[in-house]
Amino acid sequence: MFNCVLIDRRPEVDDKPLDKILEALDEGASLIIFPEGNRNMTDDPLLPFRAGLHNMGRARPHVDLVPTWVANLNEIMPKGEVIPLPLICTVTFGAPIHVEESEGKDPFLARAADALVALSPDANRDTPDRTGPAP
Amino acid sequence: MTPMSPETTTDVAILGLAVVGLLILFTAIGEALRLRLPPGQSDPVVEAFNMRVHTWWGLAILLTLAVLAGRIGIIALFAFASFAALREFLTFARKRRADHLSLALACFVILPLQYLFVALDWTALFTVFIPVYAFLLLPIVSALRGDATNFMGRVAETQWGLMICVFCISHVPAMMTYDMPGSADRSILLIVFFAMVVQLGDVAEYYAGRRFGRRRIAPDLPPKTVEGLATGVLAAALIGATLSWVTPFGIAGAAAMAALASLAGMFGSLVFAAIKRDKGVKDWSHLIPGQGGLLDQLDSVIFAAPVFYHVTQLV
Repeated sequence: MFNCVLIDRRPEVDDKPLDKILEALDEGASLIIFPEGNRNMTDDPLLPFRAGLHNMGRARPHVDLVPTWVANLNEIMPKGEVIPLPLICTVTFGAPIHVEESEGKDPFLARAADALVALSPDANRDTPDRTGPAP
Repeated sequence: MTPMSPETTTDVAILGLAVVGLLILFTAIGEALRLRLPPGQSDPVVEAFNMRVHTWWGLAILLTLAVLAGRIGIIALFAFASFAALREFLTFARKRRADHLSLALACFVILPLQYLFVALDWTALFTVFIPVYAFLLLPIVSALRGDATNFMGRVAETQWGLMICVFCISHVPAMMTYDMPGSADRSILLIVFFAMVVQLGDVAEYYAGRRFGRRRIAPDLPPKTVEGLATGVLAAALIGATLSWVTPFGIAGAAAMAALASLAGMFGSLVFAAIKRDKGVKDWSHLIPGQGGLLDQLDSVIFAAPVFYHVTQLV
C-alpha cells in the first residue's frame, strides 16, 4: 500500500539511511519526511527538527521542500492511545523552501520549522487564539 | 415494523410533492437570476442562493428516503448527523491528551446509547442520560489521567458538544414518540413540519435581513437584525399555518408553534455565530459545498428541536 524507504532504526545497523533517501530522490520519487522524527507529546507546536532534513536539502539543493501541516493528527491518535478520535484532519501546503548556499544547519532548520508553523490553524485564526493550552 | 396507514402515506406524498414543487420554484428563481446577469459575470449573492438550493435538494432527498424507511431510517439519519456535528464541534474544542478516552467515549458510546434510548422509546433515560450521567462520567474519566491544565474549560466544552450535537439533535427523531391523535405513525410528519418551518424561516430571515435589516440584535455579531428576525418568525408562522393539516394543533396552534421553533432557531444561529467568532473560524468544516459544515446548516434546528419537542408534549 505504501511505497516506503525503509530505515532500520536499530543502533547496531549501519546502513547510511541518507543514501537510500537520495537514491529515491534521484529516481524522481517524492518523499514525505517527518522532520520531527517522533510524535510530539509536548505543548509546543513542533519538536526540534532533526538534522536529516538539512543534510538532504544540502545534498540535493534543487529539490523542492514543501512544508505541509497536517492539523489535528496528534489529537486524533496521540502516541500510546488505541482508539482514534473521529476529528477533522486538514492538510495545508506552503511555498517550497531550499537550503541556501552557506546556510548552516541550525538556521535552516529554524527557518523550515517557522515555515511549517506558519501554516498551522493556530497561526491563521482571524482572532487571537484562546483555545490552546494555557501558558 | 407496521406499514404506514393509507392516510399517512397520502399526506407524506402530498408533503413530498409540495417540497419538490418549492425546490423547483427556488431552482427556477436562482437560474433566472443568473440568466439576468450579463454573460460572463457572476453575482456572489446569486451564487450563494443557488448553492443553498442545491443543498436543500440534497437534504430533502435524504429526509424523504429516511421518512420512507420509517422510524429506524429517521433515527439512523439523525444519529449520523449527530456524529458529523460532534466531529466538527470537537475538532475546535479545547482538549488535551488526558481527554482522549472521554472524547472517544462521547463519540462511540454515549452517542449510540442516546439514539438507542430514542429507538427503544425510553423517554426517562433519554432526557437525563447526557445532562446527568455523561455530565458526571466524562470529567471523572478525564480527571483520572491527572492533568489539571485548563480542566474546567476542557470538560465544559466536551459537555457542551454533547448537549448540542447529540442531546439536542436527538430531540428531532424523539418527536416520533409523540402520541398523535388518530393514527400513531402520523408523528413522522411532525418532523417534516418542524424541518420545513425552521429552514424556511431561516431563509426569510436571511434575505429580509439583507434587504431591509437596520437594527442589529447583537452588536459585533454577524448580521442578524430585528427586521430580519421579525420577517423570519412571521414567515415561519405563515408556513406553519399552511401546513397545519399535517399537525393536530389547529391553524393557530401550528402557526404559534412554528413561530416559537423558528425564533428559538434564530437565536441558536446567533449563539453559534458567537462561538465561531470566539474560536476564530468562519465555518465548522467544508462538508457541504458553499455552506460550510453540518453545524453551520443545523445550528437553528439544534436550538429549536428541544423547544418544539417539549411544546408538543405539553399540548
